[in-house]
This record gives sequence, structure tokens and C-alpha cells, in this order.
Amino acid sequence: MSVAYRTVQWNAHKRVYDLVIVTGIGLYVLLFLAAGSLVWRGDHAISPMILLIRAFGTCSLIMLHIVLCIGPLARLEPRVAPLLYNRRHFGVATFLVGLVHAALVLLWYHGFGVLSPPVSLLASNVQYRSISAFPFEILGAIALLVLFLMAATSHDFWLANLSPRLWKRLHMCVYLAYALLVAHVALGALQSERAVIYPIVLGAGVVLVASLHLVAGIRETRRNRARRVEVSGEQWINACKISDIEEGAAVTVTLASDERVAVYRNGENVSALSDRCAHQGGPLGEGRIVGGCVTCPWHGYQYRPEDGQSPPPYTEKLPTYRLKVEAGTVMLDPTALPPGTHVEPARIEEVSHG
Amino acid sequence: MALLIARLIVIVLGAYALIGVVFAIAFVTSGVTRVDHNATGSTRGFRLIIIPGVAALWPVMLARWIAAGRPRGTAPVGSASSDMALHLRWWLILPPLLVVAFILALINR
Repeated sequence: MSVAYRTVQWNAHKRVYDLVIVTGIGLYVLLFLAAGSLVWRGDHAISPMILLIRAFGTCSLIMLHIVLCIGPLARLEPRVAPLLYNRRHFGVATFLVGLVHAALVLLWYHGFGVLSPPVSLLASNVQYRSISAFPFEILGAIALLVLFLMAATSHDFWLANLSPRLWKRLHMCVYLAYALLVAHVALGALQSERAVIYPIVLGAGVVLVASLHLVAGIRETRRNRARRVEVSGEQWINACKISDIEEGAAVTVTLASDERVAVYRNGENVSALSDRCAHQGGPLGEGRIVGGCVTCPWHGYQYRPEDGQSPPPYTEKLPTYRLKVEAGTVMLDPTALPPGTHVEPARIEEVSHG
Repeated sequence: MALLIARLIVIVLGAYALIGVVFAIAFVTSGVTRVDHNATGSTRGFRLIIIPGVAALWPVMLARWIAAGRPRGTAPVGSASSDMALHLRWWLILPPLLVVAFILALINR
């Protein structure tokens, strides 16, 4: 949340998360080296350097699959949401592991000639019309550049200064990086390694990632349509029944304008604010009230339900909406008020008074 | 010819990166607090950590620095539906492309 920027916003949970990532990477590389020296031996023996290149390359690819699965899984199963909390660090770690792979490749295959390693990389193979001899390294290099751009702009400073919309679109380029990496492996490692297991494993990964994204996207689109309320010029619209809202939770309503509104119940009070977190657009309607504030399920950003403002010293603000309760029904004025506008919460007692 | 193009690409990218690094050092030293008031009182580590991004996106940050002080409208967050539609579009386009690439790669082994 805004106030003076810090290098890394670590807390106890994030430290554990990062420790698990680093330990996981270390264990994977060690296991790969041990297993690889057993599998590739005799006539098929490979040098320790190539083994290390493969260890970091496969590690980075597996990590990218995990990063890409976390988002849709969190949409489909809220219990996965804690993994989303620190996904940025996972993404940066994925880039760093990929960078080690690329640095080792440059050193080993392009570091001992007369040309400088980057020139050698670009000029040593230019068979762009061939599939079996395609210069797959270039695809990996472009993917790494995209991952670098994302890792370099992962701090909240960039979210604030590129604007959330541009930042989101920039970070969606991870899909492009993923496609390039799959092509990098298919045109590279799969051309030299003939065992049938490799294409099966890569294909399964692609099917898993693609199907999770498609299922989550289609489900979300359907849910939005189901929750859509038509306004037709009326000032107050029927948002939901009071009994639909769990204590400390919300019901999300989609307006005809595609905007989503989270109607929160906090004890005897009902308040409405934009469903979209000012940080990364997280679904506030899927969060909870913690310490009197609406808390985003993605990164824990908080807002007061009555005015949509983050508690001091933070400065984020969300649009709010007017509500009233009539005969157990929550009525919503669909006109968004300017971010941070105080709105007196509707009281649930009003139900009993009709 | 391939060597010439490769050298040209490396020189252009290298020059872009060099300008970016020089600009980034100037930016984190004096520009960042003008562009973003939340950077006032920020840690030294924060300034170091944004250097790669500033170096990569230096034309964007140069424009921000030049425009610093002018009133900036509230940037739209965008609607959740438009974001979801964009995600979906990516995943409707990518799988067929990946399948084609995969098949081509396998039959040419």
C-alpha cells in the first residue's frame, strides 16, 4: 500500500513463501544433477555444465507453469488464494533461474569463440526456414527479455507510475513469454532428445495451463452475466437480499456498465464499494472484513467500507455507492460516487421496520 | 550479412541499454521524488531495485520526469470484465498456435 516505498515489502508470511521458493529451487537443481548423472551415462553421458544448463532451464520452465496456474486456480478455488499473495516474488525467481540458464548457455556455447557471445548467439545459426534446425535460442532470449521486463517492473512503484491498466497489460505479456518458451523447448530440446516422455510432459503442461485459464475465464464471464442487474433508468436497483450476505463478507453485483460492486455486511451495517482493488484490480467482493476494513484477497490491501479509503497512513481510495434496505432487500444506487466519498451505511434493523 | 545484422542488433540494443543505465542513475538520484512523492524518504534499496526497470523503460520515465509537476488525471483501473476478456482472448488464441507449433516440431524430429 502507498506511503514511502521500501525495497521489498517482506513480512513473516512472505519470508516463509520466499524461503520455500529458494529451498525448492536448490533441491530441484540438486536432484536434477543427481538423477541426470544416473540417466545420461555411458554413451549418452553429458558434461556437468550441460547438466547444469538443463537443470536451470527445466526449473525455470516448471516455475513458469506454476506461476501461470496460480492465477486461474485462485479464481476457481479460493483456498489457493494465499499462493497469489506473493506471486510476484515467484515470478522474479522464475526470471532469475532462467537468467542463470541463459548465462550458462552463453558462456558454454558462445563464450570461447572470436565473436562476442551475444553476436555469436544471433549469427551462429540463421536457419529460420528450417523447423528441425530452427535457431530456438532466439525464442528463449526474447522470452527472457519479456520476463526481465516483468521482473524489473514488479515493484509497486511501477504499478503507480505506469498506471494499473498499462501495468496489467504489460504483465499479461507473460503469456507471450510462455508461448515462446514452449516453442523454444519444442524446437530445441525436443529435437535432440528423442524419448517420448519429453513431448508428453511438455504437452501435459501446456494442456493444464491452457485449460485452467479457459475454464476460469469462461466461469468468470458466466458469473458476471448471472450477477448482472439491469438499471433501465431507475435510481435504485435491487442488489440482493440481506440474507444473501454472510457476516463480514460480500455479495458482488455486476452493473450494466460492466462495473462490479461489492455489497459488504459488517455487523448491522451494509456498505457498497467498487469491487476492484486500487492495487491490482483484485476482487474485493471475494475478500473479508478484517479489523473493520474490507481486505483484498489477493494482496491484503484494506479499505474502510463506509468511505472506500485505505486507513491512514495509506492513501488508496475507491468509488462508493449509496444503499438502502427495504423489506430485507438491499437497494443500490448504481451511480458511483467519487473515490473516497463517505456514505452512511444502511442499517439492517431497517428490515424489521419494513 | 547475418553477422552484420547480428552486430547491428547488438550495437543498437547495447546503446539503448547504456543510455538507459546512465538515465536510470540520474533518475533515481534526483528525478524519482519529483515523479512520485511516495519515493520521498524511500530506502536506498528501493532506488537500486528500480534501476533495471528505469533503464529498460527510460523513454517512458523520461516523459514522466518532463511532465512531473503537471496535474495528472486519475489513471483508469479498467473494468474487471475487460481484463477477463483480455485474458480469455490470449487463451483462445494461444492454444491452437501452440498445438500447431508442437505438431510441426514433432513431425520434423
